Amino acid sequence: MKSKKHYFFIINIVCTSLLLSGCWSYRELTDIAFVIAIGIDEGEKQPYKLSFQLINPKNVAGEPQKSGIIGPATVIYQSEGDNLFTANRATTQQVSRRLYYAHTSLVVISEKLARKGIRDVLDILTRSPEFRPTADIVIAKDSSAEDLLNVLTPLDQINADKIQKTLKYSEQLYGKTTKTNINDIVSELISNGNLPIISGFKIEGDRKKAKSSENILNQKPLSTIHADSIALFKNEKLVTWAEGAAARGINWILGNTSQPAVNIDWADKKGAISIQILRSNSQIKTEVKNNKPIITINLKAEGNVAEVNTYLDLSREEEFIKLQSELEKVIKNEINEAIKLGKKYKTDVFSFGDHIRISHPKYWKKVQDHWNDDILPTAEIKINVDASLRLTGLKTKSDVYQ
Amino acid sequence: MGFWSRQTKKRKNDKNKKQQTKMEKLEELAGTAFDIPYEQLKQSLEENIDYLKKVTGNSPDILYREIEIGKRYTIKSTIVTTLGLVDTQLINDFILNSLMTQPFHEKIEEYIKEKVRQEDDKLTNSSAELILTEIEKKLLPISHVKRVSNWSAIFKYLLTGKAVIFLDGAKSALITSTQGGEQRSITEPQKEVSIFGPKDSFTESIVTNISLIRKRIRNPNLWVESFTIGKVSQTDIRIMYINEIANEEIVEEVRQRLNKIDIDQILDASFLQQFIQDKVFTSFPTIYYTERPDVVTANLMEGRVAIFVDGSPFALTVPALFLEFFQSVDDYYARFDIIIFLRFLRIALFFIAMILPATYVAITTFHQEMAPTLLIIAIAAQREAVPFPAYFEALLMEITFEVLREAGSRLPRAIGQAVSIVGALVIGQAAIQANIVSPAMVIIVSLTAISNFAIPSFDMAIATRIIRFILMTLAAVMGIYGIVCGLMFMCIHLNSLRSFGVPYMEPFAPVTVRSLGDTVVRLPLMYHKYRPKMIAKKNTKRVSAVNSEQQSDKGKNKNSEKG
Repeated sequence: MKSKKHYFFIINIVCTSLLLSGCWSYRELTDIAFVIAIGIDEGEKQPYKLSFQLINPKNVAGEPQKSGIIGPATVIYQSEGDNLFTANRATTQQVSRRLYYAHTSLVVISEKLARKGIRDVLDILTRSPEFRPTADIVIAKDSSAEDLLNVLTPLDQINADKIQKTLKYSEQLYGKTTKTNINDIVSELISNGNLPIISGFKIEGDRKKAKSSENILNQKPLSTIHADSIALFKNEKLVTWAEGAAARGINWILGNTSQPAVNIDWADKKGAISIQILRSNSQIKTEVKNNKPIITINLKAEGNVAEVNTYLDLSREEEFIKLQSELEKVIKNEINEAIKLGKKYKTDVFSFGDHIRISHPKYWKKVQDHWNDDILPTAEIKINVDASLRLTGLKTKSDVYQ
Repeated sequence: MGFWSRQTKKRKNDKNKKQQTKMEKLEELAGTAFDIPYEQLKQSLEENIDYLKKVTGNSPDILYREIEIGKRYTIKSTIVTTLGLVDTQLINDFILNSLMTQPFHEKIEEYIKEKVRQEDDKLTNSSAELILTEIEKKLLPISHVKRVSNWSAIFKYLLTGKAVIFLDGAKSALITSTQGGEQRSITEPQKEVSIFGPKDSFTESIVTNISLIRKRIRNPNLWVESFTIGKVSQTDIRIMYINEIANEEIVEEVRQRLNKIDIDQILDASFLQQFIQDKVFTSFPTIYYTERPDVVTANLMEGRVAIFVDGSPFALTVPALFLEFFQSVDDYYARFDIIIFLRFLRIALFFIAMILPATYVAITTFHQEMAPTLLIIAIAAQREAVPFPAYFEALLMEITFEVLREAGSRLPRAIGQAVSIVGALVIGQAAIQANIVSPAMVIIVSLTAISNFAIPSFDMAIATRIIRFILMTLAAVMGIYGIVCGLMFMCIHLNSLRSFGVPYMEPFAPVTVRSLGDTVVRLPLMYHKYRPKMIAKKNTKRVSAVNSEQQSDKGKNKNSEKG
């Protein structure tokens, strides 16, 4: 009797466990094609044209073939469709394997499409269980997404890898671009108080030769792709590009950039001193007075002196303090530039609205619908920068300037 | 499923019946042939010797030395020994020498004259017995002499190397301890090598083995009990425990299980292991098998029972818990900090040895999203030219490894090396170059194999080998989900196991807080204040300095056992 129960128990467990396995998806590595990046353009015949950058594993890690030639690490297939899913399925006519999106780490959208609106692109990217919403998203500035993905890059064999790494380090060390992923964009699309920003990538140099292996055979690549500027969105549409100081201003406010280099003019010499920021921290405080919002940005930054191309004796306290206040001025100026741009295009990419929503929810309910168009351009924004310098490198005085 | 099991059951029943009838027949045979009759000795020496020769089939290695005792009136006597089991020197010097010297003969002569032959010339049984007593008490300078009168005892002693002295007219015989013969000396342990600690190991002689423990525990409470198991082989088996510490219930359980054993021969301690373990159908060992006297000593100190088998250089200790198989002797001889690290490592390696190939199969066929992009691409690049599915590839390699191991393990050392070289070349080089397996798979298999070897207990390492194949198949069917299911089953199974009534997963399930100091972590020895609660039930304190809350169960700790 006991053993009967025992068997029944085991059979029961085995059967239920077989039924429970939801992802019955056996697939060999040789039956799937890893999509590393997706480029989305406007189609010629149909609304969307998708470029799938697939990995050709043999050429990534493998030894050189017997002929001694290694093909590119990635292959691009394209297809068109009314929506992304049909375009994806249309690829089966060209690709011998099933497209696999779990390792997709980059989505490229062409500037043209971004200006029309990106809302329709994002649904499938967040709906599909295979696709990672942590994939980065960039805009192909002045070019199609297809062209951007087509550029062969020398250092990182996979073009998408290069774009991602560039984004990461340029945001961190230069601060004029930013790294955003699909999750960020989706949450920003549905909010009025924090609108999307996406970095743009540009093709520099010979666009025709960018696609051929000639590009990477030269020591100086004939064509490169580089992170260029930040696209400001108004709701789902790209409205303008923030470049240079304004782009970094946005990053200062959002606290994205951590170690950028800041140039300071000194004694009528432009860019005479360069400061390497070590850490920065921004706090946004909001108040509502007389039914008008007052927004205060408190930025704390610490930095080291990286380069001094003028006569400056940093062992003297007053010079040191003066340099600090100059640094504050420069940062403040950059933030001002950014806010000017945001006010001009009536788009709150700085998440001011979100801060008001949190601290003054009743007020936010009243203004949220016309926040970007009416309130933000006239809002009073105070900027407090507290910059401090820590180290001066190996010297206090320059050796080459006396 | 149900139909199938019913069928097999039927078949099993049939088989059982057949086996039963066979067994009965065998038992009948055994009854006639193997049972040595519990018969008394005859009075006549000649009859006795004839009977002995008949039963032993006139084997030439049973030696009969006929002598005569006395000068004018002589009494016939025969000394029977087994060639090779006795120390001939001992017999020459202390038996023959004392029985065949002039003074002795004169003394016996007088004795015969005085007491025995007063009435007539015939020797009566009682008078022969008197002479035998005289010999036993006054004339044999041998440490151990015994008087027996039935054949079963005589055969038992004769065949363990004792000399039997028959005397004409007496219905009993003298047994003298003259065991000797060839014996392997104590050597360094082969299986459980340690860097620190003692270097002796058990031999095939049960006497030596028990003495090795006696040397370590000089305490009268170290008790030994003797059993004879094996209908034909009549193997000597002893159990050993420390009276004040060992749980009487466990000792009784051991006795009962040993008494239940019905088999013709016991060749090694591992025979017993299979008979007395709690559950037969499990791949986890529930009895500890060791060749080290220091391990047995430590286990006895924790209240365990040791079982020795004559002719086996291994001892068994029970109860054995899961974690015991991850502890090596050096754990207690080396510093505790490094041992804590090593024990964590071993547990980790135990899991690696079980699930690594399964995880490889699961990730490459089901969950490609789980590996980092560059890693999965690297694996994909290697798999590109391999013609087999990942599961088959893994199975192929694992089986190849098992084949190499099996082939190499029994070959003479010189050829064994050749096998390993061929194996390394075939697997490591040629198979990859021929694109039959991917290099990643070779790494997985080697890692698994090495992890397997890092588990201190051979028994536990074998368990992982079987589980590995089961998990691989589950992974090929259901991916990581299958592996988790398999591990859950294993966990349930482990928790259901008992070793002589003690839960196998103790002290984790049930949790025994004060025993946790010697599990995955090993605290310095002075913190090992208690013996395992489930094993040594009555006397669980190791140290004499008693904690205040432990004062209540004071008392019995008279013996100063300090681990």
